[in-house]
Amino acid sequence: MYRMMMSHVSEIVDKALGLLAYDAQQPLIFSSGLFLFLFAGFLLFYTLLRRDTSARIVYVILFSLYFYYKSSGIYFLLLVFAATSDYWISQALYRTQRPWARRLWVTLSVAVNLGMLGYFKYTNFLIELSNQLFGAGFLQFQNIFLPVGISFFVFQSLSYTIDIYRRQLTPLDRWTDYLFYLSFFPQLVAGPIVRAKDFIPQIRRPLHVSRRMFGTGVFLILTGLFKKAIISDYISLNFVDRVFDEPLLYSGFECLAGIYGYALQIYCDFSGYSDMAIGIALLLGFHFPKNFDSPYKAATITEFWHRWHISLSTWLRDYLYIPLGGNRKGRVRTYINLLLTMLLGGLWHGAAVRFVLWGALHGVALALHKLWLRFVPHAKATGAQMSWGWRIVGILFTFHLVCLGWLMFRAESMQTVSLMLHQIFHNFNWAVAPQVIEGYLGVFLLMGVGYVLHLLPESADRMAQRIVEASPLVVQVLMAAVMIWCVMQIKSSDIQPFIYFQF
Amino acid sequence: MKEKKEEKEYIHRTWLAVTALIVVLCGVSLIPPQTIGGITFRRANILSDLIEFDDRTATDAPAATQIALDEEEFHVDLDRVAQQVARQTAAIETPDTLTPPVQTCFEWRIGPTDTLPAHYTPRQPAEVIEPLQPIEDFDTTGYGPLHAFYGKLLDGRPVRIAVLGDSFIEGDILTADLRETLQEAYGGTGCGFAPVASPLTGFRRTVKTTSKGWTSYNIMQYKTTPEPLRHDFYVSGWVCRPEAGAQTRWEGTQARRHLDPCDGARILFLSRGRSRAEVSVNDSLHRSFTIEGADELRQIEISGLPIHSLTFRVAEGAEGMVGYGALLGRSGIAVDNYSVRSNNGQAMFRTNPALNAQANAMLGYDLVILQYGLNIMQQGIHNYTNYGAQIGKMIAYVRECFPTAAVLVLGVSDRSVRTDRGFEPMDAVPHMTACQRAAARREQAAFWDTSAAMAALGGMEQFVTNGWAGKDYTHINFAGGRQVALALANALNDGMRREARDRDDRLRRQERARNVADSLREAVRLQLLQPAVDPLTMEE
Repeated sequence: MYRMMMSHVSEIVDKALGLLAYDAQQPLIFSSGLFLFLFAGFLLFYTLLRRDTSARIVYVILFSLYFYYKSSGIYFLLLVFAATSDYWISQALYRTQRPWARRLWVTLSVAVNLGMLGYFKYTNFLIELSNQLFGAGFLQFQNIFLPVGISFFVFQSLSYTIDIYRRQLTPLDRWTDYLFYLSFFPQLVAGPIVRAKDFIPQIRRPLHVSRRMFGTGVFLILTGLFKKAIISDYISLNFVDRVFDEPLLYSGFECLAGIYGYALQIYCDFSGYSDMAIGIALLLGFHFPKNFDSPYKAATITEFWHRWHISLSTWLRDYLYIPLGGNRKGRVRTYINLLLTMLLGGLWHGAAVRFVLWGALHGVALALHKLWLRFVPHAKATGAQMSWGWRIVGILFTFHLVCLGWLMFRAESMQTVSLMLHQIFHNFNWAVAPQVIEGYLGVFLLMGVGYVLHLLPESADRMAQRIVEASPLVVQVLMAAVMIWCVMQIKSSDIQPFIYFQF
Repeated sequence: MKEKKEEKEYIHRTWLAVTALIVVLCGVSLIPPQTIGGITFRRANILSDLIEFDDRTATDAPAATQIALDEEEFHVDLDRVAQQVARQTAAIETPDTLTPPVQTCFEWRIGPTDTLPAHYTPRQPAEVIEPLQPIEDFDTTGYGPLHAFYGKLLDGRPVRIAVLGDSFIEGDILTADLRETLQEAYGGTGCGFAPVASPLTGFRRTVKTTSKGWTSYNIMQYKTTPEPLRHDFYVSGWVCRPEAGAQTRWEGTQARRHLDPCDGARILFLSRGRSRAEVSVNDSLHRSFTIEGADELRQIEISGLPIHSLTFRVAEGAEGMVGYGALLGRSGIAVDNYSVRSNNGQAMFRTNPALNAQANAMLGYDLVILQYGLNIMQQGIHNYTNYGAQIGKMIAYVRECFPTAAVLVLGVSDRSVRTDRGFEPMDAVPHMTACQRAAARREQAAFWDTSAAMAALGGMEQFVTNGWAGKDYTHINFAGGRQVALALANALNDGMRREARDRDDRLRRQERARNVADSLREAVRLQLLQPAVDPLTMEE
């Protein structure tokens, strides 16, 4: 009996050790059970070390590097390298007064960071382009691992050196502090892109978590879980992915619903994860900037970019659009700068032509909106300045424009884009709508809930947040338990079978 | 007071809250699956990566529970089918001499010579690759139709295969690659059957179909199909009613090899009243056919030049016409995809046996593959005996309508379900496979284990990971269909190789028997030629 029990325990220990090892297929994400256990263990010592700042910093760095190792294996060294390189470059940059030397140092930093990004993320894309230009087999594809979150930490690191170059920031004295900033696990793999000047002042501040921070953190984690692990995961697996995989198997109504579904899915996935990151950071005593602000409430494309992935759009504005000349070099240059910024912003999202096209669409739309504002006398830049009627028209128009962008963003090829549009415009088939909704009731209900919650006024969001903040700890724990129970039900629920509608 | 509360340190609470949450969730993990108000809630096991609970008994139906089948849907009177087919066969073989014969075939031979060879060149079986999932032939006679099928392949004669299935093969999934692989090895062109019109023509990549003026009806909508058309389905599962001037254009594609051009084509239709149809080949050659009214299935057969595109237009008499489709390709291997989504095989019982027999008389099927069962399976249900009986009826039905064809039952494909530990193979798959295998054995048909072939390639989860299957973990896509088709073609090659070996053995045995007979004859002859000997005196 004892021996059996011991063998059972040893089996569980083996499994647990296996779970802790690097597995590219099983990255450590906030909505996983493993993270909950690791986070509990982490918090115990984090709390105990709260008065010893240096030890706490080293402790968080070690946990963050492990967090990164779990997803990217040995490439956690890349993170260490990026931190070391920019730490030393920034020191040298700060000490140098000669303008050309300062430019040299900042150029070196940009070259190192973009070199890393280019090598790991874009090598095969460039090879593919070369092969298309010069014929198949012109260059051989390389087997290059893409380290998780490289696009995020490279941009974070660039914000540090560029701000020092601009004399908006003084460099950190300790390498560990810089590594702490760059590797801080809540924002490490999927943002938000936290600027050095926002984060650095918080590193050595006495650790303090107020009731409000705690409540807001819990609220954001709960909403993030709901968005990411319930809405996004369910509708993508059970509807959206299959429509995009084979659009011709679906009517135009289903294809359109698939695009609306994807618009919600990408928002819930991305903003949900951001919410969780911001919430976790709050629980650890750190403030991150807001990353999403109900983007589908935007009544113009310009407003959309003030609400969507704010940390990226402001980064692109400050470190790309403005250095390109922004709107200071005449109207034509402004439009070109906008287009270039959005093209590169598109490319940042992924190494494929479709992301560039997506960026181009947004760039052109932003430029056209600028023209519109210039030539139409009563045109408004944001929905808040419009009358209700125009605002609704603007929201609907902007949403569909953004959806067209998402179609390009998600479709594997331009052929899929044209097939989806063909189905929508030539085989819409309204008649199947009731059957489709009935057949995919769970999907459509979640989509409805997602959009309704999204469109609720900000006051409703604040009220819900206040309720969570004001709840006693026991209630907060039970809320979290119910949410996780729902997530687990969704995760283990039956897959929605294909439903065949009579055409 | 409020300010004081705001100042309070909550960092300890974070750890406390997370620890309390883990304790609550561990407690919740002990709650077994529950069904409340008809909704089943799974066990929410936060420790699922470490500790597994056996929840099968709590959620699954008892092993004895059979899958629920709509008996009416599967009803068929096989004796009546046999009578209908016999009447049809008799009418074809011994036409009524009092009434003029109905012209069922309208030939259009373009060019000076027939494209079919005068003599067939024997073929060698293609190489068999490991791992092999062989076809299990339960024929006990040793000379059943599957041997005849392999024999025709070895002789180099044209071979026609019909694949009857559900959404698993919809849009030519699997069959496109089975066809290409077999045509590559044994010759042949064209994509086989392509319907006149269907909402799914856009999904099919192996032929580009543009049609207008047709209303199509699917056999799964049998009950809502207008009365005169209900009896006009053959195993293709679609009927199309034209309006005046309705037309369809089929064009070869480069989606697979040997599709464009094809070396001949047929167009299948009914014309109950006098009608006129116009056919165009390659958009440059045109011909008009006047068809007298009759109940028989008609075909326009085009041969003599490579066909890139074919257009069929109903110029007159649309009211009496029913369109089926074109069969592209004439020589070598032809594979017809007859898929009807949501069909578990029962739809074939709603087809017209006489039309099936007429189609077989025109097309001459050598092998009918039955791919069904995917929609019947349910997680937790292990007893499919009643469905097995239906498979037996399907085999019998196919044999009545297509007497020359061998029947190959494809076992159900692999399928995964979601549990708290992630995706796992559906527990019903081996039971459904066993039931299908048993049905094939009872009926002495052939069987191929699709799920085993997929398991050898990593199983459904791997298929999804590789991008070979949809996210429903049930349906393969074109890439997955290619993998399964290669495995099935490999199995057919193996069968052919065995047949070739048996044929050699038979020839050797016949040769030996002939030699022995010759020797005996020689011995007898020599004996007879020798002078007679007096047995008493031993003297001549």
